[in-house]
Amino acid sequence: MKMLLCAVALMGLFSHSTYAAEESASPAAEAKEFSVGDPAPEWTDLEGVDGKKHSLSELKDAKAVVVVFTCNHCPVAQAYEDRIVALANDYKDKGVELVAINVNNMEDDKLPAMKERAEAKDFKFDYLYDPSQEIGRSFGATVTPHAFLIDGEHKLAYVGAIDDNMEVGKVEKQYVRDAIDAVLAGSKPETDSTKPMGCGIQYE
Amino acid sequence: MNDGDTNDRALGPIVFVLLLASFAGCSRSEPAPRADEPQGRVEQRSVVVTAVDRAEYDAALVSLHGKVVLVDCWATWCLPCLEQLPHSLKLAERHADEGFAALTLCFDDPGKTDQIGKILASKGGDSQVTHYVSQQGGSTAAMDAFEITGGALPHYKLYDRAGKLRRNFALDPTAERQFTPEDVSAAVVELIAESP
Repeated sequence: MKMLLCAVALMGLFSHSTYAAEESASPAAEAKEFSVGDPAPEWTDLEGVDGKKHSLSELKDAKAVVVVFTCNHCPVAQAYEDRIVALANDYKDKGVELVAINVNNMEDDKLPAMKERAEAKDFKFDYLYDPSQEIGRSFGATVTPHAFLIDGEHKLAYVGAIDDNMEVGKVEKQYVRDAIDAVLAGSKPETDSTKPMGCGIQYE
Repeated sequence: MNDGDTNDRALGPIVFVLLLASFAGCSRSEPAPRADEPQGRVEQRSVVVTAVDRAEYDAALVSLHGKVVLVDCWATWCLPCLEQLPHSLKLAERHADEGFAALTLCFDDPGKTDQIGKILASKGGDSQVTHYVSQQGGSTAAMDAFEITGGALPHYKLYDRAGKLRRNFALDPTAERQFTPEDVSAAVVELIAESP
């Protein structure tokens, strides 16, 4: 676990220096983004496909909240859509909320398209849009889909991939489900951080 | 695509690949070799894609010591990757005589090397560039093994002549501006200019 945290910290520093102008970037003072154990970034008044504004504070009674950064156009996100729907449905009765957030601003990903998608796939969870992209940056979301599990105290309990393979038939590890089960059982997830895989979020 | 018909959506990528494949097929059925081209050159143009794990990838890099090496990490499902592939392939051509090599590393099912090869051929990939596919396909394990920062594609790695990883072009949610193919070219030119 410590090693994992270290790895995540290093990764954060590394990724930060990767695109810096200097070759020998000094990764020193730069605070890393958001990691396991930190309080979750709060979203406030993000418009959902239901036309209403939503905030994390609405979910204060949830035992856990799964946040999935996703979008319409990305083939990996599409490959995971049914799994996200099933995840939300399977855990709803256990007090777990799922919130999907899109921060991409290409036409196919904007709110009207999101509404169509949500209706077609019968999303029973909030699907929110943040055209400012700020919530994606606060979470440090890099790809779609990128999952974050928030525990009952609104601290991050897991970050990374939903499971270990975009091809559903090849999945061996159910990272998010295992992490939720751990949180519901009052313990810490055995694996609290994995590398996500998907389409890079189009930050502007 | 937005009508929610699962079958349609599932078919989308396949149709796309088939389309690309058929284009590749068309262009290759009319090779039209230039007069100054030696015979046999045409044959070399078929794109071979080899599945590698991390150790094999590292070994390939060792064999390229003395050259500046750019690795273009991509996937058939990654639309910006498909747009940017020709850029890497042109770089390889442009700097071939300056001690520069480009590799592509695809994060898809290693059982689909034919399809991957056809897409590469359609993007201008030829025998000058070595093409790999991750042995672990498009899994989180592959993203880990090849250290794809943030798990986001496209992703580029640039190694100097000593084989040292010098630049990692990765999506960074904290950056004010994301990298562009032009940034990659500039870094390549800069490293080539360094004394060997």
